[in-house]
Amino acid sequence: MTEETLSGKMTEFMTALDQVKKYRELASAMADFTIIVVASVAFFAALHIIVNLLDVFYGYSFIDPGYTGVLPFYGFVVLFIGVLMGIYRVQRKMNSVRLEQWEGTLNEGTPGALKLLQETQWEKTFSDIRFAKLGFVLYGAVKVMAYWMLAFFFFGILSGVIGNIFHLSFDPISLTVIPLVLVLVLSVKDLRYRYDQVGRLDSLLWELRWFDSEFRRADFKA
Amino acid sequence: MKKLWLLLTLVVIVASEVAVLSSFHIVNTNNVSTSTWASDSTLVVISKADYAHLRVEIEIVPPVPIDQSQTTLIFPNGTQIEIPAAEHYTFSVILPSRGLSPGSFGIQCEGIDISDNHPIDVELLSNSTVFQNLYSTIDWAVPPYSRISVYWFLIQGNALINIQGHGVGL
Repeated sequence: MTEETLSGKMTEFMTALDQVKKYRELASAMADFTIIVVASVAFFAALHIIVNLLDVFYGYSFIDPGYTGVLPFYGFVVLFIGVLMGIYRVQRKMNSVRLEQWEGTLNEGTPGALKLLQETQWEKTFSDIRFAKLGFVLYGAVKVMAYWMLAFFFFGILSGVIGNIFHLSFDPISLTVIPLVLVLVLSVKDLRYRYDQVGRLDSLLWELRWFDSEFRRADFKA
Repeated sequence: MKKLWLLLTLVVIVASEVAVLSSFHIVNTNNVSTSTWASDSTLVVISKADYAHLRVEIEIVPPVPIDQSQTTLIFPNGTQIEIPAAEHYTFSVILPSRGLSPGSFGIQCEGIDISDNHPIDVELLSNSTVFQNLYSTIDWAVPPYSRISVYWFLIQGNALINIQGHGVGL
């Protein structure tokens, strides 16, 4: 194997590890995303309780009685801001990952490549890949659920408007199912990308395991 | 791990908030929508479970007079108020909570329909005598009647009645 080929293979390998680092950060940011979205739901519910209490005890009719069972607009706004904040947090965490820090070492040629391989913590890398895989799938699911919630609220408001203008009313099942189907249709590309990436992470894991065992054996022989 | 605990706390908070939200009720009268045309003699019966707090906003609008007819409000203590034609007469009835009241119950009779799922009620009755007879014969100190609060008033004459009621049963 020439130095050039080795350098090319190592670049490919380290880029894949950088990707894993990013996905690992995504997995840990998923918890933040979920916390932010659930916190915005808690905030919305608290706001709804306060509005209802003011209504019952002081007679401030903030809510039209006809709409108390449906979805008030401020709920949509609170959740929308919550989801946006969650996505921003995830993006910020992912962007904070330092990439291509290995470039300088790899430029040293074969000694640099060997140094990088020796410094690689294989068990940690395997664990990171597994964690990244889980986080990647869960983040996709949580994101779809958050979008579903938003779409549900949006449809609640839309059905109120349609009801007022055309005197039509949607049943609760349609109000729940239509937004879900819409979100799934709009997320198909993202879901397919996630499915492919999980497959790639799987094969990366197996390839690295093989490489690790070969590397150890070579080390032993030397 | 800290994040998981935080998430669990938030989920418990949301679940509790949803439970609290389920205790809010709006007036959903059996016989009337929130805006109703009352004629001749109409009895408005407002009732609630003792643990609920109820606030009812009532607006009475007599029609523009085409004859000598008058609209009069008669309260249980005998007070009578004559409402001038086309005037928007508004008042609130507040029946406060009497505290915790464990155990489930339900009462369904003329003018009253109270249960755990439906702790506040407003009904309009065109025949006031049946309810007034019932009201005077019931022993309000004995359960289950001791576990509800009832207030009523009579509207004599024609009028448009708007009722908006909100309650919380905690």
